[in-house]
Amino acid sequence: MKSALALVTRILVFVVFLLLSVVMLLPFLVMIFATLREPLDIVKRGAIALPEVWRFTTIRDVFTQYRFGLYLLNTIIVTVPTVAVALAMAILSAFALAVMDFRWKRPVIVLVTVIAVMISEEFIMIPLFQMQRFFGITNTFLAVILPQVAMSAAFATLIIRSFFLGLPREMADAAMEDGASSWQILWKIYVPLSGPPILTAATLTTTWTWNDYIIPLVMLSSTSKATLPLGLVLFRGAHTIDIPLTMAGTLVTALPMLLLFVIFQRNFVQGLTQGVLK
Amino acid sequence: MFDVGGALTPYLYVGPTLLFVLLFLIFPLASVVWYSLVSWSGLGKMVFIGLGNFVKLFQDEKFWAAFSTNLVYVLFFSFIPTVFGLLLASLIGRSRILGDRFFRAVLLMPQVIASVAMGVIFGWIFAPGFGVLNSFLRAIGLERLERPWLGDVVLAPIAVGVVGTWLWLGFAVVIFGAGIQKIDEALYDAAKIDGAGSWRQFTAITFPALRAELVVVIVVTLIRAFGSGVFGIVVAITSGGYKTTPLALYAYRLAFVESKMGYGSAVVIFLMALIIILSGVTYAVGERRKG
Repeated sequence: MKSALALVTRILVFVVFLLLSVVMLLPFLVMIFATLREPLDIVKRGAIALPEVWRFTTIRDVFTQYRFGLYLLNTIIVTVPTVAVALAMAILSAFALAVMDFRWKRPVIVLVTVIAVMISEEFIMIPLFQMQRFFGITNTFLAVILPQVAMSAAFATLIIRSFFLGLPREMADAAMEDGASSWQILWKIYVPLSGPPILTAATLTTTWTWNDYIIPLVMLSSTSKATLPLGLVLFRGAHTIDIPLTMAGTLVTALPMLLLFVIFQRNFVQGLTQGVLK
Repeated sequence: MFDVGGALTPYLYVGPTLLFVLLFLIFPLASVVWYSLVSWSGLGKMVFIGLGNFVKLFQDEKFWAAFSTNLVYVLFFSFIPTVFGLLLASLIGRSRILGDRFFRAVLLMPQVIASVAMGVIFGWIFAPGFGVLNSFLRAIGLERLERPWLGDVVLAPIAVGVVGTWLWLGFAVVIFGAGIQKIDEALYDAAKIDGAGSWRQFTAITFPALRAELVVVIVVTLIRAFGSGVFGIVVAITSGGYKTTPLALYAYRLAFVESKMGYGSAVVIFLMALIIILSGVTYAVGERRKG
């Protein structure tokens, strides 16, 4: 009797989560279905209807007739160097902050892994705008990349350092006695063991840089430099009526990160839970 | 290779990150404090006006409107996900349900979508006339519930809030779920022997054990409800119309549309102070519970 009750409870819980999942996935389905319909068909028959004619060409149109190809390229130009440079810097700083002892270690740890990771973009957007003029990099990708590198490097340092701290200290000490330099210890011993945390830091910083809206908005004034989130807002402003086209642009913005999420799901989950639980 | 620096070696490793953090995060953070005390169009001369911007701020109706909008967002981005996240996570409790890895992935999926993309999608869902929600209501015979969801000063902030709940509920469930998995099974067994029901088990064991997770979920969602988390969503869904403009977007408009760098910075300082105080209080309450 009691186990029958437990079984019913478990089935109910399962159904609750199944319904919740449907609600969570609904906006994605809305987006995909809208891209497959014709604009007039939506106006005529409303949003809730299967496509009269299935149109798979809308997604191509946003590349050929509009500038999403350019926006995609711009986003890659911003994201790839940001993540690569930030990770390289974070590996170095995480190593020093996990393994080495030095006078200003505590303040640097607080500055980089506590204060820096808590700074959100709207706090610094106004001075950053002024700084780009000072550096003579107004309206350049570099003006977006530099602050992004700072934010990504700080977060990656937090993730990678906490993993380095968990590695046995004796490894480094033994190698040191054998005459290895700190550089060799880092790249020959620590980094090869640290694939998962580095990948975790890489996936999360890639997503945040890719999706960022505020910094590109403040820094990039010409539309030909727009990243995908910026381009999407511009596009929507100009084509509010054409739902399939707008949704296709949204899909182009969201799909690369959704794929990344599916491939590196384990790393995402770990980064999101551990990164914030520090 | 870097050991040539002797005692300087650690600084060679930390140097690049530290330099970037100081130059592009800490320096701007300090600058915004200074900016908030001046009157400045961005070009030309800065005029020091002390707390003048803040005096103006507290008499500014648009500022208070943005602030009250943020409070609506706190309800939907932070409070509702925290409460229902806790509830849903304790529903699963310590048992493993079928497809839990699939559910976890689905619950976290909104986290990887650009905020403006969410705004555009939900803009279509809440669109007037032939939008998704209104079409759905018509299809099931509830025409009288049809509303211009994004064209109403009461409904539009709530519609933006719904996006926040969609975004953060799953996150809360996953964080709380992971916390519950770590609780010692023996505690529940002991409680059952003592005849404690499931509600008593929740208040006496589960809730206190999730202290750290509660602090994290509340702080993270609060920061998002006040800051960058709503900015992109609002721009894409309503462009800030119908009382949906939050403080962060108001600060942006002041600084970059109206060229009031100093006044915009004062709004940013208010926002920062608010976030620091709220996070601080949450941490403090979480710490005290420990003892």
